[in-house]
Amino acid sequence: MESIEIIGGRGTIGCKKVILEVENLTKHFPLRRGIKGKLASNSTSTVKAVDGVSFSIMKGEFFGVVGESGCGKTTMGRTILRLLEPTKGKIVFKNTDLIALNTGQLKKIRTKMQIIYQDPYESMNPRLDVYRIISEPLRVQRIVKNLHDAFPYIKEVLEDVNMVPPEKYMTRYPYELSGGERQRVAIARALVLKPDFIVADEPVSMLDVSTRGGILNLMLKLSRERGVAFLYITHDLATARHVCHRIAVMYLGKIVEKGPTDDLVKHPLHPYTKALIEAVLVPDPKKRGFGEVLKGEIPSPIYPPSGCRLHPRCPIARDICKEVEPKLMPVDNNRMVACYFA
Amino acid sequence: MNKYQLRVETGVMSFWKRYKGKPLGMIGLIIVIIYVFIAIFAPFLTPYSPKQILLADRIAAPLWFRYVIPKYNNAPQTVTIGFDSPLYEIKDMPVSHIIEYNYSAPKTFSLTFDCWVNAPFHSEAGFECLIKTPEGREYSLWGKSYSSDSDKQVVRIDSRDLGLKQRLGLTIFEDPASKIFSSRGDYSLIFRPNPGFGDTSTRLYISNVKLHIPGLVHGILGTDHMGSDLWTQLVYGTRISLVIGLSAAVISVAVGTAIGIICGYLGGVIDEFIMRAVDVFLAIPVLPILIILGAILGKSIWNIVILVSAFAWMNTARLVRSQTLSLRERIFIEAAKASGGSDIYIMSTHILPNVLPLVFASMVLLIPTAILTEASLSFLGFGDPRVATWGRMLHNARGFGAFTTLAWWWLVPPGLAITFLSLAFVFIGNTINEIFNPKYRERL
Repeated sequence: MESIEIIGGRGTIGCKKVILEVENLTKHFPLRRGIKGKLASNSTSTVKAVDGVSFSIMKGEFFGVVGESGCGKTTMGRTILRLLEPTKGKIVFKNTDLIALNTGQLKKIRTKMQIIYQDPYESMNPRLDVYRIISEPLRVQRIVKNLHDAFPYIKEVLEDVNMVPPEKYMTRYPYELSGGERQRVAIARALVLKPDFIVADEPVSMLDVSTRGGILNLMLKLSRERGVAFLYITHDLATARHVCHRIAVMYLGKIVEKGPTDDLVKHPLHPYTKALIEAVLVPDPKKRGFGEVLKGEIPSPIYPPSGCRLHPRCPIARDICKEVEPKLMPVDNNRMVACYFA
Repeated sequence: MNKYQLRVETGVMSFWKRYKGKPLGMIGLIIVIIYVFIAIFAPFLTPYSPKQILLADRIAAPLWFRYVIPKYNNAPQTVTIGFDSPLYEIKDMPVSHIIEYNYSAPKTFSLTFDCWVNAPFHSEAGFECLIKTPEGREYSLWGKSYSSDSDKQVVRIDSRDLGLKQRLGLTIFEDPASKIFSSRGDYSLIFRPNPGFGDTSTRLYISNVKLHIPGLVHGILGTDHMGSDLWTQLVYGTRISLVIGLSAAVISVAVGTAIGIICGYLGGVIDEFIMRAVDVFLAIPVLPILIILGAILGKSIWNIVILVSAFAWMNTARLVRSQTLSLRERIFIEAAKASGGSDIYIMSTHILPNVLPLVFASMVLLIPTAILTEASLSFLGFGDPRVATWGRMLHNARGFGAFTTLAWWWLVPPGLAITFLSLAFVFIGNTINEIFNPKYRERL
């Protein structure tokens, strides 16, 4: 039923209006310690999940963030929505500084920014039916007075996510839906407030491959028709390259390379980006196995390596990489890379 | 929106469907329904009130013993004869009343009446009160002479009175009741003027005559040391036990749930502080504290409810807190936050419904605890003395000779009533747990 072929999302985006600007965003988690540890010393070690990330997203843009698990991309997505309090940095959403907002103002602006989670089995209260799940944002934001009034909104949004007839799905409980259907409900729930920006945190990684295309197409359609900007977080470069206008590659809490999708995939500059692209399986029987794979494991974000964070695993690392951290520097054509030898 | 109601109903129906399949749960439910029925229809199940005393002799046996145990074949039932009116005047005397008595000898009897005299000075007026047996023997119970007017006098005659024994010429070890009512047949209660009492201007008035021969068998379960009906106490005790059990469980579980959710969700200093308080409460030995507090606050049912719930909320709080700790990390909680839901909204809409099954089962399991605590307090004599409860019945049984007289019909029923009611709630609680919280099945 669902199409596997993906409508290409790439290409330049016409609108140049910046909807979200993130500057030097940092999120450090303090390590939990006992009373004794707290008394012993002032220096607290922290998990540097996101460490100075800057980028901006245009209206209607599909912006991809790619990285290994544990690189801080999910934390970044949640911090941008202020579901986590940032340690440092600036988040400007539609000319509003999110960090300066109080609870009431934040609640109001949440109508304009939503999130879709990775796990459609976990992101819905199992005790609520689809109608209640989708109407929750409406009720919380007092857009509707009671459950009954939400009906037209829910009907419309269920049709938007291709769950027809909507009446059939409204009374279902999450456990009665398939993974794809649940993710559609999750998208419907994010859409019901008509947001301008959605963080999609690995929205298809838990789904069957056959369902992924449908969900991605749906998201693309929404971004194109309504100008919704997406921050598409994924570890899967293959889907990202199909849907994103621009991609940022993250490693250990930092963006190491950023640029338009085609450029970045075809001509990766950073060794880490190269390794990621090599790791994508190619449907070609002659090319068995992986190409050049990075050696070693991802280091601990509590004690990140000095200098360039990739240097212990980097095939082209030299002495300077161990000492001085490379800055994210613009290369040609909107591209930026943080490597001395790119 | 009718479809929604339908869904809710199917939810309840599916719970009921699964519940029906559990024999222990059904047994528990049936027992509880019987108890509730008894509690509601208590006034129809017994003609007496639990406060009524002297319905029969102290520690009378159940009535049905007459048909089962030969020793009780002819055991006397309570005979009470009273005449309020008319006032008897001496000119009508002697007055006699027939008393039918068809049992073996009672242990005691009592007679009360009021009398007063209008007599001229220096006249010799007097009368006596006597009982005539079917064989014709006469026992003079009381007599008095008047030489002038007298005020109204209440006369009480009790068979255990030494004066009466002397008057009848008995030793102090002999029993007038068994002596007088030794045979069956028609007895007469006679008020007879003294010989030579002929002055027509003299008036003697007698009223409120009441002869009470307490029976040795009575009702379904006999009587206690006060002659109060035990079946009545048992039936009305059901009300008290259910009310105490339910209200204490509801209060403590409500408090525990609220505290558990707040601690688990908010965490931090509040959580730390309250959980240490919970530790302290858990470490307090409950019964001694309840005894002391009960003594300070006074003996009343509601005090007991409050005290029992004050020391029963901690386990629920811990249980709910631990469940909340795991729930608050669930993604749907964050999703609600992302939609702008406030803490109170999330606690009430997302966390509460998800901890309710756990809470519900623990509430049902708390009911027997509350019932048993109340029974223990009452048994130890710290209950409300004005109210008949099972614990109080046991307290009286222990204190007033049920053990020494082997009156098992006094001891056993309240004990069994407590046991079965508690057991029934445990069955129900475990069954609910089994259905709602399969993870906790090992508790069984």
